[in-house]
Amino acid sequence: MSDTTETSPAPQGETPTQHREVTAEAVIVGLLVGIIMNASITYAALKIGFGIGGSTIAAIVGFGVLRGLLRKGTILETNICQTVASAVNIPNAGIVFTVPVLFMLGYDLSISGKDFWIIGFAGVVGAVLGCAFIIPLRKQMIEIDRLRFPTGTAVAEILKSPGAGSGKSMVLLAGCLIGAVVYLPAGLPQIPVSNDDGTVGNLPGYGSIGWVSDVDRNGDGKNDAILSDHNFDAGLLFGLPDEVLLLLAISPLSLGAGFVTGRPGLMVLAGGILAYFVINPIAFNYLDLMPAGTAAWDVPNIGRIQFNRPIGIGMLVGGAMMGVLFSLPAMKAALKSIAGARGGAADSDELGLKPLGLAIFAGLIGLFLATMLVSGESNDPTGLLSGLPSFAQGMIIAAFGGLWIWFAGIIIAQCTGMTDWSPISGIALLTVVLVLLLGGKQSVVGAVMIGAALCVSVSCAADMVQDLKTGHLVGSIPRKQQSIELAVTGIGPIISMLVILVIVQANLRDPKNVDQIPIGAGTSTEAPQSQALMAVVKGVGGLSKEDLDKQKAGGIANTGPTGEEMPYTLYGFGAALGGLLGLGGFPGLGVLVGLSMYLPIHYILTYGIGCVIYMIVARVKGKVWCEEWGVPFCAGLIVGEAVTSIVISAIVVISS
Amino acid sequence: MRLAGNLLVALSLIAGVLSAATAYQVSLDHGNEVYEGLVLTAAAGLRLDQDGKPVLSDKGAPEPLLVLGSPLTSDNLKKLRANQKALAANPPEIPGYRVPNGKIRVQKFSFARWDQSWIFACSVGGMILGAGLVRTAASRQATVHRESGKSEDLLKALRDARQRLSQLQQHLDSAGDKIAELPHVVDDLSQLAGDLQVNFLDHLEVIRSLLSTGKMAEVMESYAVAERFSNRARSTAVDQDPYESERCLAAAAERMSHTIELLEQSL
Repeated sequence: MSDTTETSPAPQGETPTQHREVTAEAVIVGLLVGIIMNASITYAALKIGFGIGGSTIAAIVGFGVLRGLLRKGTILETNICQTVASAVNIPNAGIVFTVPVLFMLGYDLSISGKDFWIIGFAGVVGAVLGCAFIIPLRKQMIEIDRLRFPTGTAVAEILKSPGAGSGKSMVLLAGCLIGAVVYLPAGLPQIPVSNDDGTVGNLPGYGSIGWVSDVDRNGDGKNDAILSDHNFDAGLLFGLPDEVLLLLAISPLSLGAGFVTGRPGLMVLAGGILAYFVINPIAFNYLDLMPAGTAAWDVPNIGRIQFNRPIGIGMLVGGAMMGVLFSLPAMKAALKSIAGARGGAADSDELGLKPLGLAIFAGLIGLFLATMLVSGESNDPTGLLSGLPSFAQGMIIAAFGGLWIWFAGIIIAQCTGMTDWSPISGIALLTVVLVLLLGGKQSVVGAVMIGAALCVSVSCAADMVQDLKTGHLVGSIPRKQQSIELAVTGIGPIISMLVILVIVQANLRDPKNVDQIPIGAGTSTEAPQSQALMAVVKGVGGLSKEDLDKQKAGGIANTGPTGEEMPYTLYGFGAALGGLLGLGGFPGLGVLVGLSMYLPIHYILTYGIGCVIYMIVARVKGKVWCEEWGVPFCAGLIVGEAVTSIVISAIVVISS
Repeated sequence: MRLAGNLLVALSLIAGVLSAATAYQVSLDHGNEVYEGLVLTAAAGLRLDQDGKPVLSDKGAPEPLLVLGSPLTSDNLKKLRANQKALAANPPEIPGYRVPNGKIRVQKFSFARWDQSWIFACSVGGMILGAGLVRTAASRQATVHRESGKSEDLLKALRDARQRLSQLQQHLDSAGDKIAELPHVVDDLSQLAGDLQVNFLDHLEVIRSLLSTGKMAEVMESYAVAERFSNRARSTAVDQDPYESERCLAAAAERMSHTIELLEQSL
């Protein structure tokens, strides 16, 4: 079946035209926007503790530059521009979570040292592998399962707005404005201001309204807030028992994502209700599962850490495995279709299996080389692979890393497709621990390197398939998006690594930093996500540079990581339950329920309200109305919060 | 049957998660040898004063007897058991807190120590049975769909879409001022997308129940290509490129025909 060629046939006497899609302008603007966003978001994430997805911003900036300033960008060209920008930007999410851990543990990564470049190279390999692994699943996720990808849909609404008519454009704009206005008081308190007495405070937000209850549950001498800067505590307002948390995030983005997802998102809500309204109260009141002295108001938090999160991650993995198993015939059909296109007329539509196979092969070789070259882990007698020659160890770790990257990419892309959220941190923590157990506790650099490659990889996989969803909705040729994303995504990890290096150098030169802390607590870039990872690395016995040197000098015994601090059984039982959930009519159910047990409840509830609103509106006004007016409005809510969030982050960074 | 199956799955899931959560929990009733080499991964017991009342912190929280990380030596076990007896004999009332009932949390899992394993096994059985009921219901539903002519409705929606795409393409082909026709193309394609959503995509469950996974994949893949061409025709029409738009309309109609053929063959 014929697909598309790049040149439109023109009537006799007229010159054939080539529709503007992949152009030098689109690629250059995309690269510039992507590099700037990557550098700024890397810094912001290290400072404020969370990253920001950039596709919506990239689409708006690309739109403004190509259509506004240059006056020649088509919808498809702007789509390529945002594809390039987000591909360059997104790897920062993986690097900022992992690499600072090495600085915190005293490992010296400098521009002249080999480890810096090897980890950067592993990041590039991860980016390429993430894209290459997920490309063959495009048909499965977008065309067959028809996952919604709320942000991808929102970006498509922005791109399509010129032809949508003034009414729809106004609805999109109204959504953006309402999203920004509602989110603004939640974000403003992040901005530091100098008080009259010389102290540093923050701008007022929702919490400053002073809507408080008449109880002080945590005994801090202040009555608990019903409306805080980020959340609305409906449970407190309605007098629910303390162990039942009915907390709603003030997040137009979550509400919009819920609406765009519609009815399937109710499964996420069901999982959240199961975890926080059923499991936790029963565990506290009847099963005595909380540590002695746990207060009822602390149950949601403790329950999440003790069992909901590990069981949730297990369910994600089991649910995804069952999903893959049930989808094998569909995957086979999709792969056959891609393979069959080779040499045929349809080959211009989809990147063929040959280039993808080459990219994956090169990526795996790269991962093996990086594992062999990275310092610290050779001949560690404490790892599970300790009896094997280092070549075999490297092969096994690289093979395990590659396989896990493929599987994790599927999990993350499915989660993003169904809900817009991705459990990257949970998967990364598990990866680092598993590599430490394989390689031994001296292999911290190698474990963090594989963790970085995995984080970058899964971020890129989710971004790739999200961009392809946008592309589908605007009619872009997948092959063009896939090729361009594969070509540029490797730039991202290098930019993020260089930014971290610059930050470390700046911190070390800071006269106030008397302890010479390179990054983390005690500096202006606290890197909270990396601190969580560092705690886990230390928890399973991973060695700091100082301890490693002492051990090599014979100062301390080498007993190896125990790994006992990780609740493997809960992961395993969760995987079994997640897999079994998929046995019914909906193979992805385990992924959805697992994700909602893993995530904090306040986002789940706001998201769930979005799903419920969709169902009510669909019943009252019809599904066509929902798609035609509701989705653009909610796309606006997503964009409004994303843009406001990045503007606030930029102000925080500039003002500090 | 579907409702019963889903209910069974939901209840089994709750039981499964709750029993799984107890995997690292151990009662204090075993002999000391069972706890050898174990440490606490959660604080246990409550510190009691001379009157047998819990010792409270400044914030009013009861203080635990043993903190996280304490090894389960025979001395500590003795303390915990005595504490448990005292708490059971005279249960204190501490608003906002629960009194521990003699279970502790350790860092290693063992089937031998796991009291709730039978609940987990039952929940696994319940989930399998529930899934079976759901699948049986789905298979009956497929028969109903087949007999009620639902598949014909889906084919009708696709045939209608093909006709509208072809008409649009022919209309654009024959138009004198193609640029002037493009806004209509944009409107009609937006309308078509909405109609297909309601008449075809919202009934994917029907298709799923009627076709095998492989056939479903083939049909949906072919449909998606038609849809993408239609979306491209719309985007290029917005950008005033009538030739690319016309070419995509033709390709979309052609792909829609292919989808109809596939669906007809598969049903």
